[in-house]
Amino acid sequence: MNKEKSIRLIAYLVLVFVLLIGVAAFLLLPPVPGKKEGAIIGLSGWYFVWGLWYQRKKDSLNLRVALEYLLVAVFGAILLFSLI
Amino acid sequence: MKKKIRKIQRLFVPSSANNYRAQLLHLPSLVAIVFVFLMIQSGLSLVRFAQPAVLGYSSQISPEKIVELTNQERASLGLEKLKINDHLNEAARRKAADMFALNYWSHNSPTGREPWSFFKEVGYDYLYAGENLARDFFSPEGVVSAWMNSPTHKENLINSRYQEIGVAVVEGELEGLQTTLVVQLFGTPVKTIAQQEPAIQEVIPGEQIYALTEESQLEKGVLPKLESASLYQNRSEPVSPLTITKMAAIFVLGLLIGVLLVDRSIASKKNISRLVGDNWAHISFLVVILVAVLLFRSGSLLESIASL
Repeated sequence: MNKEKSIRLIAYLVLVFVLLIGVAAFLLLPPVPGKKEGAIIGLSGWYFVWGLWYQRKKDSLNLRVALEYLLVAVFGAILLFSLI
Repeated sequence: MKKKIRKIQRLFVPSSANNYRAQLLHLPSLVAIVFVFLMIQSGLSLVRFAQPAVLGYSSQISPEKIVELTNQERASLGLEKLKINDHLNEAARRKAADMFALNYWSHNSPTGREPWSFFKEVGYDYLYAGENLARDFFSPEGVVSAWMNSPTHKENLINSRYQEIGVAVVEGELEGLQTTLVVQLFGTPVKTIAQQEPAIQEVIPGEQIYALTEESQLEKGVLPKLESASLYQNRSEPVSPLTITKMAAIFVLGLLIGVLLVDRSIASKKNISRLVGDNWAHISFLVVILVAVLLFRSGSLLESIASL
């Protein structure tokens, strides 16, 4: 496995690990005002930042790509906000 | 016909016609999907507001089960079980009635009335007192588990100072939505409670209405539409807005994940190189959101309150 592939794999693992922590926080935190909202913003914010970092690492970051990550992150946040 | 098929194909399959990226994953399409979902949510809110009887919550919560589960939690920690006190039950029912009558979701009423006034109103002279509130849960297990996951509510639930408990589960209309309120009151009496009965409670067949008392806030307003949870068992269940939201979310998430998978596999097969977001990352994120949507249970709490 070359270096680039292993960095990619580690990046995916970190992404999934943090996303799972975020979703566990969303599901397990008590439904008290502010707590679940914080978990949603953290989860979506993390995905957006990870996306920018990852694309930059791949040297393929541009405005359209950044907007794509932003839209997906916002969409995820809206879905979760609609539940609470 | 062929044109239509091609149009649909363009939505899902990357080709020269859509710049080698499934049309549904283009920025305008993503914006449209977000917009449509927001519209569905707005429509749902409008229906909830205009027709609260159509969309609402139907719960299977009984006060007895709440007490039983609370005592189970206490017993598992070696604490004494709480005894049901009729005065506390009545105070809890009055608190719920007050919330529906004055349309508020808070420990203190808009008129500044504190929860402790309900204890006094029914003649419960307390040494220690506490209140937990919950709304829109479907099951008693959901309520108690949410309370146990919240440090402040748990503190009330497993407080060794409390000796007695009163619970009310009441359905009614709150903020334009058919809602199930759960009021849990804890108390330790100063001495044996005065032999007085809690103030008059009239029961009219088919509907439970709370009588007015001199001090009650209820006398200032219209009688709330209060119905005991059991009365709902014979009615057709209202559609839960959460179920509709979940179904819409699952549909859109499934669609997007499917398109991302098709797009990725075709691009990889045809060895197409594109400057776009990473499909696997999007899929991971959306799958995590899907898991959250599937596992999410409804209900909300207010921070607990105690007078110790």
